[in-house]
This record gives sequence, C-alpha cells and structure tokens, in this order.
Amino acid sequence: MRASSASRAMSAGLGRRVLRKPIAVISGFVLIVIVGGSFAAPWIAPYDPLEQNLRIAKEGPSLAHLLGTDSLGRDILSRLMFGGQESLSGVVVAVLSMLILAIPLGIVAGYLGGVFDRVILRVVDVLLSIPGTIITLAVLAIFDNNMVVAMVSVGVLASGAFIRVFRSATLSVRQELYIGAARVSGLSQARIMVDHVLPQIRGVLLVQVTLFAAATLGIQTGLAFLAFGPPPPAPTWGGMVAEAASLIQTDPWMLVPTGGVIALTTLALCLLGDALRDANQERFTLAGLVGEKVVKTTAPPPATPSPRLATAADPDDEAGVPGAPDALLTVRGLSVGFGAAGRETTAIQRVDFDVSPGEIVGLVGESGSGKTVTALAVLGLLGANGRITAGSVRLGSDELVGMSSAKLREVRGARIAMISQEPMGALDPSFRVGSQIVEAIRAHERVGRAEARTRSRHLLEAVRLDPAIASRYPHEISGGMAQRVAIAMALAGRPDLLIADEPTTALDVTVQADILELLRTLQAETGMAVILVSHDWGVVADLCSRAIVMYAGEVVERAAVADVFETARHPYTAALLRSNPHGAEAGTLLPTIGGSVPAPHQWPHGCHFADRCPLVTAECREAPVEMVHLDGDRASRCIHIDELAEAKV
Amino acid sequence: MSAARSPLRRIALIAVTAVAVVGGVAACSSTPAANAGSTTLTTQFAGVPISLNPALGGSGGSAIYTSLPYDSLIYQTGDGKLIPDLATAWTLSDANTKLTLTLRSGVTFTDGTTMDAAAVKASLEYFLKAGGGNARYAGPISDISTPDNATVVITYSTAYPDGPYYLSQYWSVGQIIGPKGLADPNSLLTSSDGTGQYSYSAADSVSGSSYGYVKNPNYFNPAAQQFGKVVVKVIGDPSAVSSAATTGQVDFAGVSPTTADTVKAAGLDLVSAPFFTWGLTMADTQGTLAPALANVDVRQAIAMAIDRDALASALGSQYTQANGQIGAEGTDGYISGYGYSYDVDKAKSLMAQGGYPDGFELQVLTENILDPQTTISQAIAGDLGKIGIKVDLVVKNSVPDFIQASLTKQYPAVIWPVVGSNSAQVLTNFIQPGVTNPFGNSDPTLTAAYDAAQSSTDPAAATAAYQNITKAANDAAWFAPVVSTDNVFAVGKNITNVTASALNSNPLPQAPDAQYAWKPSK
Amino acid sequence: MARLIVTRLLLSIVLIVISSIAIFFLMSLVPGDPARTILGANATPDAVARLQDQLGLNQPLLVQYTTWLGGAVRGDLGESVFSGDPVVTLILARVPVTLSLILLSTIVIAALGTGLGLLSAVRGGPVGTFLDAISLVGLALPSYWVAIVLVALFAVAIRIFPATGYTALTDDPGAWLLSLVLPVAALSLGGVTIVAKQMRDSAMDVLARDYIRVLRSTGVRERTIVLKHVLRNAALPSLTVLGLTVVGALTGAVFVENVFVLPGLGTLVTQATTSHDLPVVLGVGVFFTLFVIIVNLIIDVLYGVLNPKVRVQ
Repeated sequence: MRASSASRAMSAGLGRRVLRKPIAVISGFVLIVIVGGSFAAPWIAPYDPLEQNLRIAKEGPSLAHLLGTDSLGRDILSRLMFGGQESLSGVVVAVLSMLILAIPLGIVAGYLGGVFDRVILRVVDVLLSIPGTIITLAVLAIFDNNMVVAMVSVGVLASGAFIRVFRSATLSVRQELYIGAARVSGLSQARIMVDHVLPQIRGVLLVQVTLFAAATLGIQTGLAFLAFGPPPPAPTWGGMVAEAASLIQTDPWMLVPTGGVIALTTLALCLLGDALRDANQERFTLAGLVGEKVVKTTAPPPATPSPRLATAADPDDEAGVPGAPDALLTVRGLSVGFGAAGRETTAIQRVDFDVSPGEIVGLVGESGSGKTVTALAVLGLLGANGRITAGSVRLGSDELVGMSSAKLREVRGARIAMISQEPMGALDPSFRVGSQIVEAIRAHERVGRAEARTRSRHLLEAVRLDPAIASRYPHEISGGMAQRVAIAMALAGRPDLLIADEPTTALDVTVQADILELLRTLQAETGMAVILVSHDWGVVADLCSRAIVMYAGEVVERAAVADVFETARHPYTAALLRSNPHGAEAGTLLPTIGGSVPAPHQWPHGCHFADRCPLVTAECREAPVEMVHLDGDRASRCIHIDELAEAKV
Repeated sequence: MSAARSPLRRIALIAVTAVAVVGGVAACSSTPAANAGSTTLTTQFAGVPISLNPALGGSGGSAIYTSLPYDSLIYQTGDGKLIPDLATAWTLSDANTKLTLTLRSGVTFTDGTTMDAAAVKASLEYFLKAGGGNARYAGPISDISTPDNATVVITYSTAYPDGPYYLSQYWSVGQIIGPKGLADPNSLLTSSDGTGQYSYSAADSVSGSSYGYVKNPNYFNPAAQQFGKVVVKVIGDPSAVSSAATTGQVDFAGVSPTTADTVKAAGLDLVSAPFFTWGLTMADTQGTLAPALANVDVRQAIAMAIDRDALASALGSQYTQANGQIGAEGTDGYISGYGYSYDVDKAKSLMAQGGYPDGFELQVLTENILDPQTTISQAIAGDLGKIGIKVDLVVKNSVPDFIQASLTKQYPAVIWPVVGSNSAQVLTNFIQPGVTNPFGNSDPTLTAAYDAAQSSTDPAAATAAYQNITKAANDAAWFAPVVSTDNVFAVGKNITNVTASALNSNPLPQAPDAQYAWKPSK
Repeated sequence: MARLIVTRLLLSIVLIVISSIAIFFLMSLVPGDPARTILGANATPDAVARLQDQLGLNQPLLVQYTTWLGGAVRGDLGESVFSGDPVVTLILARVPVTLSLILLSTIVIAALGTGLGLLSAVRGGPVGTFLDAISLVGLALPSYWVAIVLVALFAVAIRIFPATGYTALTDDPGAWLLSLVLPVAALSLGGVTIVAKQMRDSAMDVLARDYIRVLRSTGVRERTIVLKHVLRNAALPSLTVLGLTVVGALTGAVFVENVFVLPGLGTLVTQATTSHDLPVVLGVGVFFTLFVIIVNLIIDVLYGVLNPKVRVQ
C-alpha cells in the first residue's frame, strides 16, 4: 500500500506544475477558446455557415464579417467555427484509436516482456512499414470519403510508433522500487499495470497525445484540402484552405484566417505538449534533487541578500588574511550565485584560502557545503547559470575573475587542471581514449599528430597504464582505468595546480588506494600543487598538508591537517571528524547531530551551523560570524572557540 | 528579365548555389524555362488522356492527345467552319441520312500502309464496336460502304445532319487508325498508328504527367507542320496552371476565369469563347427517388429560384454569363432575351401549386474537377434553400467516378455542364441515355422538336427548329440552366494564330491547312 | 553489422508481402470498376464485360493476388490497367523525381535542423528564443499551405523559381535544382523544426555532461567542443528523429507533388487511386514499403557507425 501512495504522490503534482507555466496557461486558453467556439458554434456563431450572399462575395474583414466572406459571400468566421467541429472531432477520433491500441500494447510489452514483447514489436514493425498514405487513400475511397473511418485508420497506423514510446516509458518505470514493492505485496500483474504503471507513464502519455493531436490536425485538414472530406457546402478547415488557394489571385486574404486557425491550434497543442514535457521532467528532477547539492533552484532569493553580498564583496572585511607573497593561488572573498542575473541564489560566499606551489590542500565538507562549486569557480567553469558575484581568484600574478574567455582557456589545462568525481562520465563515449588525450595535448601545444601521440603514450605510462589502451573506447575500460586516463588528460597541459574533485568516490575500495598513490607520486614527480576535494578525512590525512573545511557555502575552518586531528577549532569540524573519520557515503546525515546541510535559501542569518550546533547560543544567530584567526595559520568561523577547546565536544 | 528584377535573380542564384553546396551538386547557370527559339510547343491540359487509343479516347479539349497523331476525316477550324482533312469533300443526301466522303490520295499511316476506303471503313467499324465513350456521337449508323478506293458512304437509320461535325478532330469517331494498329489495339497505348502531323513518342513522355509527340516525316502536307515537337503537360489545379502559364513553362493553357486577370496582367494574350452551360439536371422526372421532381411546377420553381446574375458576377462576370436557356449565346438556337430569370416569389408560389409549399430534401450528385471547389454546385444548393429545398450534395473527386455514380440511378439530380454548337446537340444530353439522363427519360414533345431539327436541310429552317427546341426544353424543365462559362486560354508570347469561337471553343494546335494552324512567333 | 543487414533484408520480404496483401485487399474493396472507368460512361455492358475478362478482374481475389505475387517475385509488377504501361516502367520513370525531392529535403533537414538546433543550444538567450519561435511557427503551418504561399510569392509575384514542373537532373542540373527549391522548402520546413528541436534538447543534455566540463578544463577550444563532441553525441537521438522525418516526408511528398505538379510517385499514386488502377497502387505501395525499410536500415547502420557501443556488438 505504501507503494501505491508513493506513485500517487509522484504524479499528483503534474497538473499544478503545468498550471504554473504561463505558456501552458495561454496555450490551454487558446485551445479552450477554439474548441469551445467550435462546439458552441450553433449558439454563438454570428451567421448560419451556409447562408450565402453572392453580392458580398470575397470581401475582406469588416464589422459585419469579422474575418471577411468567401467566394459565395458566406461568413468566414462562422464557417471556421462550424468547420472546427469536424476537424477537431477527427483529431479526437484518431487520438482515441491510437491510445486504445498503444496504451495496452505498450504497457504489456514493456512490463511483461518476453514473448509478449517480441510479438508486439513485430506487429509494430509491420505497422510502421505499411504505407499509411496509400492505406488512408484506399480507406477513404472504400468508405466514400468518410472522415471518421479515415481518422481511425490514421490512429491505428500511427499506433506503432506510440507503442514503442509507451513501451520504453514502461520499461523505465518497471525498475522503480514501488513497483517491486507492489509485486512483492502480491498484487496481480494486471492490477499493477493499471494501478501503478499507467499513472506513472501519464506524463509521457499526455505529451505524446498533444503532439500526436497536432500532427493529426495536419493530416485531417490536409485530406480535407485534397477534397477527401465531408462534401460541401459543409465547412471544413482544410476545404476552406483549398478554396482560399483557388482564390489566391483575387482574394489572398482568405488564406490568412483559414491557414491561421489551423496554425494557431497546432501551435497551442505543440506548446502545451512542450510545457507538459518540461513539467513531467521537473517532477523527476525535483524528486532526485531532494537533499542534493543545489545546482539550480527556482526558489526566491534569500531574504536578506544585500548585507550578505556587501560583506562578501569586500575581502578586507575578513579578519585580514594577507595573501601569502609566494602563494600559487589566492582566493579572496569569493561568492558564487546561480540563477538569473541580479536575483542569484548564493551558493558560496566569502571564501578565502591560499595554495602554495607544490602543496596538497584538502577541501573538506559534506555534500552541499560548496566544495565543488568553489573548485569550479576557480576554473571559471560554473556554466551558463552560475557566476562569480564577488571576490577574486589570483593565479600567481594573474586575476582570473573577469578574465576574457580566450585567456581563461589558455589558463585551463596549462596552469590549472581538474579531474572529476565520475571517471566514466568524464570521457566522451564517442571517441577513443587516445584521441581525447591527444586533443588535450594539442589544446596548448602546437605539436604534430605523431608527436602528440608519442606524448600521449608517455602520459599513459606516467599514469601506469598500458599505452595500447589508447585505441579503446571509454566503455571498454574499467572505472579505475578511466580515472587514470582522466588524470593523464589533466596532466597533458603540464599544470601548476591540479584540482581533484573527489577523485576516488565513485571507485571500488581496492582501486581507491591505487589512484591516491598515483596522485601522490605524480605530485612528487611534477611538483604541482593539488587541491583535493573530499569528504573523507582518511584521504585528507593521508595526502594533504592543510585542510579547508566548508559548511553551507562558507569556509568554517582552515588548519594544518595534523592540527585538525589533534583539536578541531570549529564545532562542525569536530562533528565531521567524529562521525566520518574514514569516509562514508555522500548525503548521509551526521550520526551524532541531527539535521542536514541547509540549502542556500534556508541559510540562517547568523552562523550557518547554528541549527545543528551543540554550543549554540542566542548570540550565534544574531549576525553573520566572521573568521577568527588563531595561532599559526589557523582560522575558524566560530564565536565559541574557547568553549569548544574546553568542552572537547 | 528586366534590369529591375536582376538583383532578385542574383539573390536567387546565391540561395540556390548555397543549396547546391550543401547538396554537393554543381549548379550550372540556368537557362530560361521558355522554349524561345526552339520549335517545341508546350501546351497544357487539365486531365490525363482518357485513352491514347482514339476509339476509347476523350472528346473536346482532351482530343488533343489523339488528334495530334490521328488525322480526322474532317477538320473544324477555330471559327467553327468544317474544312477537308482526310476527306477532301463530303455531301449529305437523302434527307440527311446518307454521308458520302471522298478521300485524299497519297496518304500513308505510320505503319507504312496507304490510307484508303477500306482502311477508313475498318477504323470506323472498330470504333463502333470498341465501346468507347464517344460512340454515341457516331450517330445511328446502319451501314458503311466503299464504292471505290477513294469513297466511303455512311448510311444513317434516321436523319443525322451533325454527322460531318462529329467526324471532325474533336470527337474521335473520325480519327482514323491504321490497319496494324487495329490488329493490335493494345499497341496503341504505347505507340500511335495514324496519318497525323505528329506521332506519339513514349520515350518523350512520362505517363500521367507529360506526353510528347514528334513530327511525322511522312505527313501529307509538310507546309502545315509548324512545330518539331509538341509536349502536352498535365496540370489540373487552376493555380498551378496559372503559375505555369505566367512563368512561361507552357505556351498555351486553359486557365480558370478566376485566374484570367492575373494571367493577363503577366502580359499573356487571352482567347475565350463560351463553352459549358451549367445547370441542375433533374434526371428523376419520373419521381422514382424524389417524387417532387415528377411535378413540372416544382421543376420550373427550381429553375426560377436561382440567382444567375449574382452567381455570374461572383464567378467573374467577364467570362461567365447568366443563362436561362440550354444553349450558350452564339450557338445556333440561342434566343436573345429569352429564358428563366430569378424570381423567388413566383418560385415559391409554384412550389405551393405543385404541392410542396414547405420544400423537400434533394440529393444532388456533382464533382469538383469541372466545377472547382464546387462553387457553382454550392451556389445552386444555397439558392434552392431559399424555397425550402434542402440540398444534400454528393461530391465525386474524379470524372469517371462521377459518371459511374450517375449511371447507378441512385441520384435524382446531377450537376454537370452540357455543350453543343446548336440546341439540338445540347438536347441529346437529356433525351439520349447517359450521364445527364441515367433514367433514360424520353418525352414526345422534345423528341418531335429534335427530329424536326434533324431533318431540316435549309439553314434558316434549321435555326427556327433549334429555337423551338430551346423553348420546349425550358417548358419541360428537365434542366434548370444557370450560367454559361467561357473556355479561357492563355496564349504565351511564343505562339500566334490561336482562335476560338462559340462554335469551337477548344483550340487545337494542328491543322491540315497552314492558315488555321498555331504558329511559332518567329 | 553484416548480420543486422541480412536479418533486416529477410524481414523486409515478410513486411513487403504483408503490406502488399493489406493494400491488395483494401483496394479490391474500393467501389468502382476499372473496366468501366477505362471505357467511359457510354460503353456497352458487353464491352465492359470483355475488358474485365481481359484484365482478369473476374477471377477470385486470391487467384488475382497470387498471380500478381508470382509476377512480383520475377520483378514484374504487372501493367497499368489504365494506360497499359508496365508498372515497373511507370515507377522507374517517376522514382528520380520523388527521390530527388526526398534526398534534397533530407539534406536540408539534416543540415539546417542540426545547425539551428546546435546554435540554439549553445547560444541560448534571445537567439535561442528567436529560433524557438521560428521553429514553432514552422511546425504549426500546414505544409500544403506553405506550398501555396511559396508559389504565390516566389513563383508568381516575384518570379525567381518555376512554379510547377520538374526538369531532370540529366537534362539540366541548374534547372533541376531550381525546379526543386520551392517543393523542397515546403517539404522540409516541418522536418527542420522537428530535428532542430530534438537537436537542441539533446545538445543541451550533452552540454551538461561531465566530459564536456572536463574538456573545457583541459582548455580545448569551445568551437572544437561544440562541433566535435557535442555534435557527435547529440547526433544519435537526432538521427532517430531524422529517420522518422524522412519516412514522413514520403507522405508529405504526396501533398507537395500535387501542389507543384511534379511527375513523381505521389501524383502517380493519387491518380491511380482515383482511377482504380490497382496494379499501379500496389506497385507504388511495394516501393514505399521498400523505401521505409531501407531508410530504417540506413539509420540503424549510421547509428552503429556513430555509436561505438553498438558497433562492437
């Protein structure tokens, strides 16, 4: 029973989400006007559609005849209204015939599979290869231009394609947990298909229905255009276009309202279909995004954005961390927002840190803390939706914020490179591994193909791979190998700084150690600096000399790794250390303290950690907390540092 | 191409070149589509050939497909005169029941055999038994004899003064097929066997789309051959015809009255002549399907309910004339100022008098090939609504389907145009079985009037007899005439000497005498 | 790959037989008699009966179909009952027209659809909105309506292109191209918008992938990323849509050929249907079926070429 309520809840929001889209509302309104106007025509049409007055034939729009008159002086508006009944019911007939065949066959093929699937797919093959035009013409001839029968045949012939669509939608639904739960609870197959699968593919179904309706309207009016329709003087949309076409020399106006009403209806159907599809996709995206890091959100901007931005905008407000004169990378007051310009949702703010040449720095925090956003911001790879709203990123003496994209491209790969979490996703599946490394090499060095290939062999050797792997495709190698290839690509431009974003998270435990070992060796060989983004203290302890801890978009503690392990100087660091000394899965809650990282729009005004902190006082919530500098290189964003030291939380 | 238009031309070429690059096709500089300087005549016809075998072929304008390769016995000029073709002379005798034809000598068929009396007789006899659609026009032939090699005598069982007319190039009766063609009629579908100026060339044709004819080197009067090749393109849609004519893709085209102005504005000459008389044929005068139609008051009421002037002006008054009698103006038997006129009140009182004050429902068969968009049919249906007759139009999308449907005797009334160069010819549509008389009606008064006209040998007496037919037809009101429409032709700049008249409103390019043939402009 | 092609071809024989049976029996239900149609209104019943006999129309349907199938196996599709021409000859004479129309449209649809879709995905913003608007209008306007307006505008008002008719490629390549510009425009408008829409969606999907970010992080030029990596990966789903569009263009060709009076298979089959010319309708039906099968096969092969995962299997 839990399964059933889950599936209901998932699909319930579709209608509401569609109604939130203005395009959908407008299209729906247009459709209601057209459909309503057509079926209410007997009561609201200004004229009898057959009432002819040859003396006012072929006139343009006037007050008496809003859309003008046709070749027999009949009112075009009234004829369009009455003609709509026939065209629109034709569409309904075709859509219904299609659905009656496609829904059961598609669901059965997708859900039951096996013999059913194979037989149904063969039938679909036949349906798709029969020449529909000829069959429809023959049907029209047999049934004396009976449009209803013709539209049934259009629906039946088209059902093949839709059986495929519904089948694949069912296939993906079938994998869902609640379907399995329903099966275990002993529901019959038929009940599951009707009660659980059908509601789940409702979104896909609606999208396809609107798009098919649009296509069918084209066919229906096209047939009427070729005079395969109800006989005149009965008005039909296609027939009126044909009449307009015959008068194009003397009365071109008539093409406008006749073609226009068809175009408008088709347009409204297509736009409604688009909106439905978007709403349907949002449903899945939103469902998957709960508790995840925020990439994009439609939530309103934070309640008090200005003071926060003001604080962040001025790095000198921070308790004056001077940039180390010999630092390779200096990040000051970095803030990043996502969303429409001027109304961004802040994802990280007031981020400061330095990286010295040859140093390995750990960037630590839970999912949603802003580690990855920080890494991407340094590379200027926030995507179209995100931008740096304040702060500075200096690489040596060059300011990267505001740098032209051409210059930035020269920096990327050659001076800062990156390897990402998901090694399989990091390689383009369509190209051989070798060619992707060659591409990375040639992005910065003008070398010939042969030389680039030689270098790529060396790089593969450097990451301890057999150079023969160059001729393989990404799907032919393991995750560990893929990560080595990704590292080779990152090394191709001989960078001074490598940003490794959770490089081992997605790998098998046995492979993880190898990759970390490789990173350490490579660092030692090349002398490059590394920013290691991780949530795993074990990894950090193993590799890094310093750690930067982030929480809810802010740096909360900076310290040498050895010092952190001795005493955490921020309650969050302490909690993180205790709950997750050697790594746990991303997204899980901290076992010792309740709650999770707040999403950006939920950030408290004061300390971001206030809601989960055991040491919280009223003072913590009053104002944004500044960094406090401690002995050595340490700094912490907490006003209870002393208590922390005493309490040993 | 005027200077003002050249920039557009250039844009077009750029656009086209761009497409060519995409397509990987090298575009050469294009040549104008027109045939200036060449001797190919490109002409248009709205439908495909009914058959390339003349015995099964079509009449009127569609005769172009068979009249180019097959000479007829007699030729009708653009102004309606009958002049010699394969027959150099002919006489009607014995009260219009005997037709004696003298044949031209030294004429050979494509198959090499000589055209003589035996060959003509064989061709005529084949025509009579082939069962083609034009068989009825042959007349009541009872005997064909050949007194000598150069003479053919046709004997009719009743008077048939129109015999010579129906032996002209428009009616396929008189189109003579060679002996080898007769031996294997199926061969006529892919090659021709006539004596005409041109031979059908399957190699130059795309069946159903364009038909090519090449000059016949053995034609008996080379001086009359004006073109090296004739191509007939099949274009039915009036807009497409108009575009083809204005852009010079065809040198000659039958255009719709609605597009005539555009064609004229594009600088083409127009030739027009009255042709069709449109109206509602009340075929079920026995009242089998529609009892009301058995009543002459009702039939006359129907004829009075139609607003002819309004329809003519809506259709373009320049090429459409309101007409209240069976023949078009200019044909023999037309009476100036006579005929049905629009009078709804009188029509209503006639309906009441006939016992149908509240009208009735009437199924009417029509088609949308000759009546594009069924404008005329819809107008008639709309007008009948004013006297309470609710018309249910049944529309066929092809002429053969229409004909077949009509012959099933399931439709009490049909809308179909009638033609004829005199009112007797028009009347045959209603008193002989056929598409406008599927029930095989006959009426003693009408038959008597027809017979009187057939047997009169004096032109003045004939005209009086034809006018008598006109009145008798309106009194019987089997046919409610509505409008006469002109055949309108666009003549391109490349050809001259195209003529048409009320007596012959379907110009054809070839003529046995150069003075009547179309000519290239230079 | 070879196995795929062989099984597809075997399957296609079955499909052609099924589809020809469907057409044959449906067409035989069409009221109207070819013999009567050929002979016209005033033919004698005798003549009609004789012709029916000659055409084999008096035999049982099953015998008629087996006779036809027997001939079809030997490459003989019979003769048009109407004109007497062999159906194969009729079809072969018209195939170049329809194929020219569809091939050119396919090229236009593929090139413009891909280009516009890619552009709109990469640019976004006003360019994307503008392209969206154009493509929606293109999708909404019925193709026959577009055809009429194109003729009125470009062939009659400003005479750039011929309004109707067709010049063979072998006669005059320039005129061939000119004669096809408007029909191809009318036929490809809808397809371009559909492919562009699909291309935009899948390109946006690809642009959000990790490997694109990785490529950017290695400093590869944006143009290379878009034209090489995005295009190649987004092409796969678009290819399926392109296949459907090309098959759909066959139906569109029937309308467009009629408006532009092109002597192609579309006009042939409309004429044959109205004149009850069963052998011709069947022949064109077989050809259409074959066309659909071949297009699907080509798409599958291309899919294999573009997608390394399929290729290996």
